Amino acid sequence: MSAARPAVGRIWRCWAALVLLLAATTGGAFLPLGRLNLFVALAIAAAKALLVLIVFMELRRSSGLVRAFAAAGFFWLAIMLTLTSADYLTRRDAPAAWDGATDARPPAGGGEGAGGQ
Amino acid sequence: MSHEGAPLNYLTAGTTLHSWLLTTDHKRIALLYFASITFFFLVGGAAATLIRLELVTPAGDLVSADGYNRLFTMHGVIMVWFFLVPSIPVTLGNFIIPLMLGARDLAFPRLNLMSWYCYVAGGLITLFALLLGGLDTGWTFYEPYSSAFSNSYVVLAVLGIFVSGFSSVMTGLNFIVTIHKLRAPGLTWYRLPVFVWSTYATSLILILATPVLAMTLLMLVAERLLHVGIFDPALGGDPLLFQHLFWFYSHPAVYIMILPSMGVISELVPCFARKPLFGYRFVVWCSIAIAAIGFLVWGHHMFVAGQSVYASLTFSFLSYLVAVPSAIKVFNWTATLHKGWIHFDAPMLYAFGFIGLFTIGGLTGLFLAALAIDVHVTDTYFVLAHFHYIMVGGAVMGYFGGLHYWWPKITGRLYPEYWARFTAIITFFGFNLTFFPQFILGYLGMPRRYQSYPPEFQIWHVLSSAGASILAVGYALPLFYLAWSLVRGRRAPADPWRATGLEWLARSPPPPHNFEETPIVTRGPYCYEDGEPRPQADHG
Amino acid sequence: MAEARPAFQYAAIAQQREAATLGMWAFLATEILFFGALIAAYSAYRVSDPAGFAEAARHTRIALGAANTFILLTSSAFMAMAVELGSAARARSAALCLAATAALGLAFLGVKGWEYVLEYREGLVPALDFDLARYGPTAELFFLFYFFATLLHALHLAIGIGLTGTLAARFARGRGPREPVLRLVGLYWHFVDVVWIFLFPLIYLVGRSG
Repeated sequence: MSAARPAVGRIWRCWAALVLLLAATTGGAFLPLGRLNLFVALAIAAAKALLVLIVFMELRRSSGLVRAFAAAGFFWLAIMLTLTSADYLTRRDAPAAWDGATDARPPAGGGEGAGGQ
Repeated sequence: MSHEGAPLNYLTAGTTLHSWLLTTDHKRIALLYFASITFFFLVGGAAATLIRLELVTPAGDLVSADGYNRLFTMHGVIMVWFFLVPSIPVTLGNFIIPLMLGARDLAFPRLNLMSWYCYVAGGLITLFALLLGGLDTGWTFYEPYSSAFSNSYVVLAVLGIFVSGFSSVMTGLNFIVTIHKLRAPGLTWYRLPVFVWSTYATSLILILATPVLAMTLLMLVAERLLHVGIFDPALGGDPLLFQHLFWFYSHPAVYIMILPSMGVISELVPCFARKPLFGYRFVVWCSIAIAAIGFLVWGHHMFVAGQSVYASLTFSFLSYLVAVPSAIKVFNWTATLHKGWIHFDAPMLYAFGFIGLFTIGGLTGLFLAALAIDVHVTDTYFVLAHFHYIMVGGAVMGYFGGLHYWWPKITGRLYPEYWARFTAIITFFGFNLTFFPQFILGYLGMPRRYQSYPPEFQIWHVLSSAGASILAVGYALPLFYLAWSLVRGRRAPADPWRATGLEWLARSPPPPHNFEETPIVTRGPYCYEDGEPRPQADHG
Repeated sequence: MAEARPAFQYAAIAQQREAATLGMWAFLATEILFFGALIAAYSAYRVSDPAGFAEAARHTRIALGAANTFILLTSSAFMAMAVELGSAARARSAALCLAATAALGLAFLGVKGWEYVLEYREGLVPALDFDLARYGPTAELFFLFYFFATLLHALHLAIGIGLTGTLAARFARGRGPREPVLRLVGLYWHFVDVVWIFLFPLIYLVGRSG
């Protein structure tokens, strides 16, 4: 049926884009971008995921409600990752004297855990 | 229960065991759940009884120290996962939501049945762990004790909880799709009863939080069985990571426990004050807000655990924020009472109990959200009192209120009103005598999970245990008079309370498919004019 | 297409199909949070020791990982084809595409299995034969996540292969199951692909630049 043909074209064009992105992310991993490597890789992964979601999983012609359901999972994951990293990215090391820290000295008044027990 | 000439209802349509165990009727599944969660409530209550008996004397003389650890752990595990989390959604929610929507069943009836079997399977596995000797890690399974040191049946119990998690997810999924897709004609979102909105908000949490617990428990099991260091610091892990992941679920879980109960109160107050609910739109959006903001506050369980102080600050601020929508609801219920025509039937007594006790619990939550105060009272009986005021004084009272309110609809019988009022009152007094002394104990420094204590604390423990014995009577009495009502109670009309929701259009008890014709909704919920109800639809 | 009657609680078949679609997306949301918790744990440790993670990840085989990603992306394309053909009632063509999808899924599992064998030979399997002295504790943690995540993903993929194979057999007999079963299985398959799309960079592309 000719109705299937535009869809076929769309599917394989999407596939081609995905494969290109795969090549880009694999090759890009070898570029010396320092900390940017992670962001580039994740950005490309997000692009691939969006292509799969929008084209293959037909979000492009789904109702707003279905799109909201699809977005909700990712949004909540983002909440979990963001607030957890609020802890991990803001921790300061306060080594104790018996940990063998070479420059161990009492934390300047008011650091977390200040004062001994 | 069935008699000649009576119209067919969901109870009489099929009397074989097969027709019950393989039912897809949401009403029968609600009763299956009701039996199961009542059983677990009694098991958890038995553990609580032993705990309170032990704490009457300062010395640890009733059970061994290890035994005491197992008692409070099993009390927590069973009450949280096998009573409170399912409670209202799977019993009252399963039964009433389709009726409130004017629907004939939930969106996925077979999934509903499967959810009950997952719940039972998980419960049996956990019971098995209990019978083998139990668990001593506390219901929070903190690392590295639970993986590296505990000599109890951690893996088995955790497996039971993991399996029951599937039940939570299936239930939440079913409610969300049902509420979106199976509303009767004319039933727009803003005409939905608040109980439906609350169930929707609860279901959001059920499906978004439970999977995180599932993964966390899997990692815990992997660590315990394989001796690898995910959370164990001796092996390079971070025990705080366990707490982050655990509480990401477990804090929203407490909103799973309270939101349905708040929904029930929003049904009871308009009906028994004969007035529309004050500020309906505020109340419904506050339910959604509680669910959403509730996901952002989990770190307040970890203020002294070692997380960064900036994270603690953030979580403290957000915890203050989450109290606001709860407070708005309390104000709105109170405003509904103003110039109302208040009837002190048993469900309303439970609602009053809820409003007062939840307020106390909620306020003390704010004390705990303040970093400086929390440092002093964390891990003491203050925390215990706080959450029991909300869970027992709040959620369980709401559950009993809803149970009494919808009992005529579910069973076709009226319960004995004066026994029920008496029970509601002594439950209220018993509860306060049990748990108010615990605020004092916590403030004075009594740590939680301790079997023995200094003698100067004994007076408060004795008061608390005395209260617990009264509370136990308050919970035992309904077992008797509700059972009695099944056989000798007066038969209930379709709408004994003269309320306005669609569920009151169906017969008591309803026929298998709820309504002869799908109702056409023409009004919002809680339309009372001069105390007279204006039902949401005119026929069913 | 024959007119199906909706189940008793639905007023119309379209309503029932929409409900089923919403139900599947709600289920996928739970899977996002499920895998997401594992990724959160991974992230916490990677933030704490980025160099250690990079060092450990260099022991993964990027060629096999990339090949597997290509296989899975292609399988998704075939699955999308099957959904299009299925709803156009071209049952035999749909069956072929579903068979291709399942075959590619099996190929993925085969490559994964081969990777596991190679990793076992190199002493990289925690709790089995991990060579702690040679690789260090951070690497053990990294490979713990690697095996946890890829095994879980493989389990989901295996379930997908089972579903796809069953559907292929149905379509090959001339008529597929009623709507929207194929579409829902397709959603599940694509989701398993999306999970891998995120796992691939987190596992294979760490620390490759110098």
